[in-house]
Amino acid sequence: MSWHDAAQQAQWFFFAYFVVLNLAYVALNALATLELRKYLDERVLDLLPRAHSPYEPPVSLIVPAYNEETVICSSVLSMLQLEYPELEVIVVNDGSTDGTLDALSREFDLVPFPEAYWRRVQSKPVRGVYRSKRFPNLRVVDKENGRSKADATNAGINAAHFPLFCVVDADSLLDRSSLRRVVEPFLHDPSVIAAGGTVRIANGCEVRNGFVEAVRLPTRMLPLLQVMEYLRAFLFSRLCFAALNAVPIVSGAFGLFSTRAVVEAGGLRSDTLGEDMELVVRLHRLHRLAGRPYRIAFLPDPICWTEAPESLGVLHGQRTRWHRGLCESLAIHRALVCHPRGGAPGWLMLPFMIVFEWLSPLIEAAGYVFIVVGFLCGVVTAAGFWTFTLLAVSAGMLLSMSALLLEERSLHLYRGRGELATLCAVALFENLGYRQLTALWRLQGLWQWATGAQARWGTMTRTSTWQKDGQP
Amino acid sequence: MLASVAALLATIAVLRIRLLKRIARWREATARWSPLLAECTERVPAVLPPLARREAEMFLVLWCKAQESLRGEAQQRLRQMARTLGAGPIARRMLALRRRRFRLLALVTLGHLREASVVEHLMDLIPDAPTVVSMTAAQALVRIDPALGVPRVLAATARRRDWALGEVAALLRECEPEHIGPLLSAAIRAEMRAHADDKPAFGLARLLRLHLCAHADAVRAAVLEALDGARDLEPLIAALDALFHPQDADRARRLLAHGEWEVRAAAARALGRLGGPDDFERLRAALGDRSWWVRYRAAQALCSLPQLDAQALSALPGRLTDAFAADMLRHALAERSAA
Repeated sequence: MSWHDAAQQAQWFFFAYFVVLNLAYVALNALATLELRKYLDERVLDLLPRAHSPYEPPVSLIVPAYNEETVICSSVLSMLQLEYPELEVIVVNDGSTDGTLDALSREFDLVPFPEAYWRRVQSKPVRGVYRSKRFPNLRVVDKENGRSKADATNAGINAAHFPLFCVVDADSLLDRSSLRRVVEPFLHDPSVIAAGGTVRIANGCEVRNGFVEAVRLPTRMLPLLQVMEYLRAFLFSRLCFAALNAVPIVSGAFGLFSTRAVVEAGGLRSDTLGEDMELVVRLHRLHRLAGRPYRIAFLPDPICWTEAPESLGVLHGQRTRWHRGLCESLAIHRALVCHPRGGAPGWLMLPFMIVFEWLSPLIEAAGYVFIVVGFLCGVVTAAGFWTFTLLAVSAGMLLSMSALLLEERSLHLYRGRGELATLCAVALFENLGYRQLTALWRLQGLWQWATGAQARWGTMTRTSTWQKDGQP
Repeated sequence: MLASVAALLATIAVLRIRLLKRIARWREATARWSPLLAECTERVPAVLPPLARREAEMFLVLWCKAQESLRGEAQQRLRQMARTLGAGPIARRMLALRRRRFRLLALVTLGHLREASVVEHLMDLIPDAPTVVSMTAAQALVRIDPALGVPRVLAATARRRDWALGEVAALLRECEPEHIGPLLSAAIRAEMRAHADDKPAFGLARLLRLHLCAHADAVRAAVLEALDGARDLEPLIAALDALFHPQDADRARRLLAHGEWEVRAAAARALGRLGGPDDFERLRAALGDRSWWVRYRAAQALCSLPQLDAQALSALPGRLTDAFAADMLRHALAERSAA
C-alpha cells in the first residue's frame, strides 16, 4: 500500500468517526425526545398542589466539604430549607486547612455529639461529631483528610441514619423542591437504588437565599460555551440511557442513593477521580451479574445548579480530571462490557462510552493533527482537507443545534430577551475551537490515567457572587 | 449537513415563536378566568362568558387548581360554574385523546365534577393503565363514588407497587376516616387470604402501612391478625409499626427475640411507643444486640419509656459493661436532649 493510499484510508477513518460520533449523539437526543414528551405530559399534574406525607422516606443529605469556608454556611442554610418532611443534613469536614469547621461552629452553634459511629464503609478516622443547637437535624462530622471526596462521602454514609442518602456539593444550588422530585422514582418503584437529575450551570442566574430565582445565561464566554456543552453532551443523552436502565453517571453534585445498596457495594472508592461514575457503573455491574432487579433513574428536570469554571486554567483541570475519572471507571468495570448478563449497560452504554467518550479525544486529536500535517506535507489534498474540516465542524454544529432544539421543545429554560439567539450563535461557534480545545484536555486526562499520575481533590476557584448578594 | 443545521435553526425559531404565543394565551386566559373563578366561589353569576375551544385546556387547569385549594360549598359552586360552561363534555372528549396530558387533565376534571357517567371507564383504567393515569383515575373514582372507589383502590394498592403509598394516602384522606377503617380491615383480611395461597406478601405490607389513614381502633383487629399470621418480613414489620395500643405490647416483646434484625428493630421501636417501666430490662438487654440498628432502636425506646427516672437513665451508660451499648445509649440520650 502506498503512502497516498494509507493516507486516504486514514482520512476516511477519521471522516467516518467524526460523522458517526456526532450522529450517534444526535440519535440519542432524538430518542430522548420521546422520553421527555412522556415526562412533560405527566407534569400537567404538577400544576396542582401536592401534600407531603409520612410515606416519603427520610433522607440524609451528605455535604462533603474541603476548604469551603466562604460558601459552606450559606449552602447549608439553603439545604436546611428544602421542602421535605424528614431530612438530616450531615456536613463532612474533610480535614479542611481553612476555617470551614470554625465557620460552621459559629453559624450553627455546634456542640460535641456522642455519635455511636458505625464504620460501615471505609473512610479515614473521624476526629469528632458535632450537632447544631439551632437545627437539631444538622450534624457535622470532622475527619482526617482523605484526599478525596469519596472518602468524605463515605464518612457521611457511616453517620447517616436514613434509608436514602443524597450527596450534594457544598457549592451546589438547589431548588426548594429538588429533593422531593428526586425521591419520586423511589416512591413509584421499590427496585430503584439511585436517582439523579439534570445539573445546570448557575453562572449568570439570579440567586436569592441560596436558591435559583431566575434562569439567565452567563455573560462571560467560557461559562456560556459550557452551557451549550452541557446541553450537547451531558443532558439529553443520559435521558435516553435512563429509558434503557443504563444511566452511566449520577452527578456527584446532586444524587440520591439507597444507603443499603451503596453500603452493600462497599461505599465510594477513594482511589478514583470519577467516584460518582464509578459507583453507578459498579452498581450496574453488581446487580446485573447477581441477577438482582434494580433501576437507576434520571430526571430531566434541572434540580441542581453548579458554578462553571470561568478561567481556562480551572476548566482545563476540571476536564482532565473528568476524563481521567471516566477512564478509571471504564477500566475498573471492563468485565461488564458485552458480558452475557450485562444487559443494556454492558451491551450498549459501556461500548458507547468506550468508543465515543473514552477514545474520542485520542481519535479527534489524531484526526485534526493528521489532516493539518497531512495537508501541509501534501499527503492530504486541499479538497480532502476542506471536506474533512467542513464535515467535522458541520457535524458538530448539527449535534449542538439538535440539543438546542430539544431544549426548546421541552424545558425552554432560557427565555430572556436575546438569550435564544445567543445560544444559537454559541451552538455554531463552540465548534470552531472550543470543542477541539476540550478534546486536547481530555486527551491529557487519558494520558494521566495511562501513566498513573496521583489523584486528589480538585481545586475550584469560585466567584460565587450569589454568596455575597444573597446571604440567607 | 449545513442545510440540516439551517433547518434546525429555523425550527428552533418557530418553536420560540409558538412558545411566546402560548405564554401570551395563558396570560390572557388567566386574566379572563381568574377573577370569574374567584367570584364563583361566592356566587355563580346568571350569565357566564362562553368558553372558547382554544381556551378550554387553560380554563380546566385553572379550574382544577381552584378546586384543589377549596373545600365545601365553594367547590360546589365551582362545579356548577363548570357544568354551565360545558366542562363535562369537553373533559370527556379530552379523555378519548391519545396525548397523555389531555387524558390526565380530563380525569382530574371529571373527578372534581363528580361525573358518574365515566365510572366504568375509570374502573377499567385502575388495574392496568400506566402509573400516573391509573392513579389519577383512582382519585377521580374515589371523588365520584367513594363507596365503590375505596375498595377498588385498596385492592389495586396491594397489587401495584408503582403506586406511591403517599399518593394513595392523600387520596384516601379525602374520605371520612371512619369509612376507611372497615374497608381497610376488609382489604387486609382479603390480602391475608390471598397470601395464604403463596401470593407475594408485599401487598399485605402496603395495606398495613395505610393504617394512618383510618382510625386506629378500626383497624386494630385486622393488624393483630396480620401480625399473628405473618410469615414474611415485610408484613411483620409493617404490622409492628401499626401497633398503637399498650395492650398489644406483648406481641412486640415476643418479637424482640426474632431471628431477623429488621424485626427486632421494629419490635424495639414498637416498645418505645407502647412499653412501660417493665420493659426497661428487656430493652437494656437489647442494647447488646449484634445489630447496630437494634441497639439504636432499643436505646431510643429506653429514652422514651414513660415513668422512668431521667437521672437514673442518664447515669446508665456509665454502669454498662458493654462499650457498644453504652455508646449507643449516650447517642440516644444526646438525640433526645437536642430534640
